Amino acid sequence: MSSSTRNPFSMTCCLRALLEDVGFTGRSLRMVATRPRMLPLYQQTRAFTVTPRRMQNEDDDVDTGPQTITAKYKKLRERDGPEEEFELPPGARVVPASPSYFTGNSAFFDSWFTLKDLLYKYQTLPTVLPSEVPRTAWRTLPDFRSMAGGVVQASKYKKVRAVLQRLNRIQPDLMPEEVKAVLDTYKRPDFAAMQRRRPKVIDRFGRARAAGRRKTSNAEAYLVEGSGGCYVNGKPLFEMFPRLVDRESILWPLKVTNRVDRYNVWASSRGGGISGQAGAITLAVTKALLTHEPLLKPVLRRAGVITRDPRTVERKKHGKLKARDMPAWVAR
Amino acid sequence: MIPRRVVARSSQSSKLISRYTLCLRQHRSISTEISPGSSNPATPKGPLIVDFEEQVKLAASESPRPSIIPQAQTQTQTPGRPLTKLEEYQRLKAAKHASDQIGGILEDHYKPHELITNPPSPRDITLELLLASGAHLGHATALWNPGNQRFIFGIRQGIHLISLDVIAAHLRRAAKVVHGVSKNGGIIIFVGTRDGQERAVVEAAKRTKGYHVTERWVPGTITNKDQLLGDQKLRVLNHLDQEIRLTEQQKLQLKKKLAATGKKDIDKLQVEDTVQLPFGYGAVRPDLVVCLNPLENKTMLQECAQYRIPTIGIIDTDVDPTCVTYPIPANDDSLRSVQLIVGVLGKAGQEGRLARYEAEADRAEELERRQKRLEESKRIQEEATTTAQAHKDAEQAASESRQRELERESLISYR
Repeated sequence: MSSSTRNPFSMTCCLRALLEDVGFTGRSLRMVATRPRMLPLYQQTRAFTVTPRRMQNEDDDVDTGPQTITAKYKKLRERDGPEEEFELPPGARVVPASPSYFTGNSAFFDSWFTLKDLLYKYQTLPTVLPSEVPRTAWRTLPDFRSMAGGVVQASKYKKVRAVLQRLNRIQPDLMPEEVKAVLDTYKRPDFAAMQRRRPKVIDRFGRARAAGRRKTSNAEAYLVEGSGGCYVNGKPLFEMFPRLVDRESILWPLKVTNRVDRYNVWASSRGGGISGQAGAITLAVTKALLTHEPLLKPVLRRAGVITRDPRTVERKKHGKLKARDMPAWVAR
Repeated sequence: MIPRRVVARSSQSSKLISRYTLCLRQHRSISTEISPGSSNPATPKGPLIVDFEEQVKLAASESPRPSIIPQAQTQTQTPGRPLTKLEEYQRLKAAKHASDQIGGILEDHYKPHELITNPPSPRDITLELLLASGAHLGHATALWNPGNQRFIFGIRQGIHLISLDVIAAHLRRAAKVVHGVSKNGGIIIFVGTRDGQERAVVEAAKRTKGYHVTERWVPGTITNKDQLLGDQKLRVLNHLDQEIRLTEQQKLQLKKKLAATGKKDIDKLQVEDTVQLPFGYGAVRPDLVVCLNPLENKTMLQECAQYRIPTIGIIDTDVDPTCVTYPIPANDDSLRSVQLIVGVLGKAGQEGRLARYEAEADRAEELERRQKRLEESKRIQEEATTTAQAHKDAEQAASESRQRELERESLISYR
């Protein structure tokens, strides 16, 4: 009866109770009594009006028939005090507010169909090429979820974004106000702020801070005018990187600009291996150096230290031993 | 009796010939002639060579069609200034509008969007329309469900063909059902979960002010409604689909009730202007479900059957016709046929809704009339009583005066 106790009103529950001669336990009856009942009376009692034929024929079981249960139920109701029934005004109908009510996710579907309607209405307006559309950032999925107020799958939001992109492609001079207003609600509110780059500054201690990455390593470097000291994670450089190549790589941006003995580097690195960390620190040092002396950029570009190295470990694929390694071919 | 449109083939051949020659003449000469039968006002008069400025003026002088083009701000035309994008587009549209009637006249051809934007009403169902929509095409004979025997007309090229008059009859019956449910203010859901059906389904729901499901039917939407739909909003509407407003007195009553239960200050309480459902009212169930693809929605139909909710479904030759209450035997694989059917049903629902509004307006009028009559009769009665009273008073006064006179006379005579 574990599943049927969940809804004591259900027909199956009542029938089972009658057939198995289990009867309602006190607990489930109390559940009946305390459940907020807002349905009209005829719907509540409907469940009790069905009696299996077997029960009707047996004389001694008549007492435990539907009348008894209804009577018991009534008694409990009276004990708990009569609950106030909600009465609809005459001529009133209770209907769902949203046409997408029965999808169970009306918030999402309403916004989806408003967008679709807009698209159908204005799809004949001329568009510009996707490359000519001003850069726009749409709300992120969690953001959209909180806006729509429901559960939205990522795949569905992808479709929404496709529609938004298409609407955004309408010729800007011909863009109707209606569309503009809707698109604005989907734009990321902080996008303009995001696009504005924070100016790089040297702090009150004369330090320039920058971060760098390579492979899976992250590094952060502080550059101060000084006499050529270099510490990584609190250790001197040669202790941290025994290989000459790594040490050279770290100091390379300073070396090509002839500034090894004019700055002190204090760096910290996390993640990845030794060469990765060295590369990450290189990038961090470069960026920090650019904060001090922005005019060095062409020199550093030529030295090849400004660009972040995008190469990382390729993922392993199924059916292969590594990323591309095939299992050995075996003759049958 | 199924109405059939009289086809051109059966009309007098002389007419055809004259039209044919007219068409030929159109192609030969550079000027267009308006065919005498055509009543289209947009048919341009004058030479075929389009004078652009003239056409733009002509288009501007005509009553404007409802347009999606944004209206231009009237700018002073400086001669050297290049056209803005907006002006360019407007000119393009005007030229198109002016010239799109030039050339041959296409009559009664299929415009795909019209099934969505302006579907035929149940009265317009003809066998020709159903045939043209491919509603009669069933499935390969091997796939058939023998329950459909009575709907099937025959076999052609290995597929079953559904009898067109059966389709029309069943479609009309279903339309009547939708009309009736809509007229009585029932909740109708349109369910079409196949690709491409979305727009037609949503439009039909919009017409009926019903509900739509265009993606997977969540099992339990009917049988476990409070869990799945419980947190969505419900409204209390009258028969005109307006929210019911509370009078000041009712508001005060409600406030008193709330104050009694919540032990709050009555003056600080605020209640809505309209009737609101109490918290935990629960979800609602539909009164009618229209299903466009019963094969994929077995669960939904089963739930409906469990709760005795009538269903309407498109039954192709491979579907069990007993799975819905009101089957419409038709092709459910062609978008055109499906759009036609759901369009007709949507239109029927719209008509039912309008009929409800009308009936409600009539009822209100009748009530008002009755009220007036009642007041009138009351007034007449009152008037009658007052006049009667006046008469009585006058009579009494007269009799009294007479009495007095008599008395006086008698007094005089005594003297």
